[in-house]
Amino acid sequence: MGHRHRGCRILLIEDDYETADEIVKDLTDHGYLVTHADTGQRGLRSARGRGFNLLIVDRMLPELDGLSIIKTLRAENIRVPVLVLSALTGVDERVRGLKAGGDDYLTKPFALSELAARVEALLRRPTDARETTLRVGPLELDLIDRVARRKAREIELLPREFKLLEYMMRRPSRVVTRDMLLERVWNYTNAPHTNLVDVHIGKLRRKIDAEGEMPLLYNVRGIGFILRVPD
Amino acid sequence: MSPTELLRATTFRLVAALAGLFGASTLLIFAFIYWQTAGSETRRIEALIAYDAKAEAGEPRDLIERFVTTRVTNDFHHLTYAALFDADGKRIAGDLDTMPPDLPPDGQVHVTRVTPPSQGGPTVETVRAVERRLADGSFLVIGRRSEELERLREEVARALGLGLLPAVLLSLATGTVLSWRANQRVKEVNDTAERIMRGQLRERLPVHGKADDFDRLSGSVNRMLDEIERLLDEIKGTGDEIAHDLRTPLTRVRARLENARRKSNSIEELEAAVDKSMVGLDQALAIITALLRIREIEAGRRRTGFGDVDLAEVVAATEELYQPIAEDRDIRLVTHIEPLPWIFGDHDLLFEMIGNLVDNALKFTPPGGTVTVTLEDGRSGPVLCVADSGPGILPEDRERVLLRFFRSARNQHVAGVGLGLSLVSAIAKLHEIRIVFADAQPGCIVELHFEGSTRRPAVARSVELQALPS
Repeated sequence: MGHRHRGCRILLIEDDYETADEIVKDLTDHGYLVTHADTGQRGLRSARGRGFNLLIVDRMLPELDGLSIIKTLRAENIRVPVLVLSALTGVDERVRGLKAGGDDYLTKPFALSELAARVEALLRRPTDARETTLRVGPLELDLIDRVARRKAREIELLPREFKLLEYMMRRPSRVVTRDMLLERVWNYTNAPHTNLVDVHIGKLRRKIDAEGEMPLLYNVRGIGFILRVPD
Repeated sequence: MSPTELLRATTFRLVAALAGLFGASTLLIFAFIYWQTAGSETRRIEALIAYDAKAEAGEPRDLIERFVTTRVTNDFHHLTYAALFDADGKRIAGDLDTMPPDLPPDGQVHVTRVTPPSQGGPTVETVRAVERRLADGSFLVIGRRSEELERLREEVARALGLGLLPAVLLSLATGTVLSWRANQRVKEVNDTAERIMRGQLRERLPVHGKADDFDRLSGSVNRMLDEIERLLDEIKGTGDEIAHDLRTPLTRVRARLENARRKSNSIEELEAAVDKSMVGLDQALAIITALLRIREIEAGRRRTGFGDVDLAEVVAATEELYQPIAEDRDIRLVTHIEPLPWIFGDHDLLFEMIGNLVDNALKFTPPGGTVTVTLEDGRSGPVLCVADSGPGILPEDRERVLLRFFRSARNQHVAGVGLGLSLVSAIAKLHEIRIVFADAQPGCIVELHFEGSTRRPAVARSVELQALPS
């Protein structure tokens, strides 16, 4: 899957070398070009070079903390997407991170696959929000009449299922994780560890992938789900 | 306490100021008494002799002579002088040999010195005297001895002086004692504070049971210390809990990895062990997250996220979230929602709390069972009731289910770490919700009584409803 990201440059600002090492390795495997900065000041200097497509910023850094870096960059009108990493779990912390200008917030510890999925989501912005009809293969979602169809077959969806499908269809062929869905579809940041999302996805899958039809909605083991038309 | 310390103390300075003020006011009162006693006596006598002189001056000469003679004769104590002199200053009658040299004949009282007829007494006396020139050119002199008045003045002054000294000394002494006692209390408090700062957290400020200012102050500081100690205990408790409850999954992970390292014969086996270990680690992390979160809710008592919440909407959203899971497990999830006035609370936390209860109910209900969620208007506020047809909670467990990590012996086979109800309990406490457990025979009923949640006026809602496009 690496070829898709060739040329995408990421700046990782993280003071823990071991963590940084693992992240750099994993993202490099995904085909990204990753630069690592180990202090806030160095990170800010590199980020100002404007050569990066994405910043991954740890919140607590020596010299200059992560949120200050983001605020400074935003004040200088540098609009590069930022993913905030933090060991602070409070709901307030998340809000603060996003308010400072972060585009996404990931709490430590996280799975590398979760990070990769979020990086991809930030680099490949979803389908234009002004689009009134979304299409993925035979699937069609009419956002004005609130109708879902698979070819001629109309699919009856509950409001939440509609929202779930819309989220997936705006990000075709991309892995979305359970946490991303909980956060974005249910606005739920503190889900009890159950198979909530799996059950909802399962229900949605039974509706869009009827028996005998080509499956479109897949589980990605240990990571999340993907909606795509098989090659 | 050293003397300088005593002098420096605020209370002492206050006391000194008060003693000064007290002394000054006493002095003022004494001056008034002095003026009123000695002064007025003098004025009275002066007025009297001036009046007598004036009255007699108008009388015929023989009456005046008689008056002078009678006055002298009747004056047994020899307090007054009276005399009549002719125009040349020769004595006609009375007990003065010569006219006082510096006394003007103006009818006003003057202090002067006279030479009384020598009777073994003093040769020169200070007197208050009046001299008037009569119509025939002679002079009438009436006087009164001043020594007696001076003595009166002196005595009054001495008496008052003697009174002033002890009064000021007494106020100073009282002040010093009071100040010393107050300082003793301050010292006690300081010493205790020192000990507390040195780590003896169970120390408390002394309360003397007099319900005075110090006691009240100590009381509130002690309550603050109680709360701090409780919070510290909680932090320590959290630490202990985390340590204790992480040890189990981490030990398991460690053993698994060790075994895999030693015995795995294939990459697949190794991978399986790593996968299992990751699950164990995730579980350990989930415990930390859940504990910190409970702590955040319990300790913070933060109500920053509070606002108007439509409980009916929260229950409906919970049902929507969990319905597929119920279906998946072949459990009927039924809700009865009565429209209710909005309550004041944290929407996300309430959602989390109700979600946890429903999650729990679904977890313990066997396939084919029913979970019923009811929201109705109780007498003292909304009542949310989650009933399941599971095994129920043993009566002896009812108190303990809210404790952290409590897992009934009956349910060891059900997955989970036993923190769900602790979270529910913490959120309920924040919202002043009373939790009641009951028996559904079979099954368990959890009732949430929203008693403390302030209701917002219904107006707020109708406005919002009108604002929506129809």
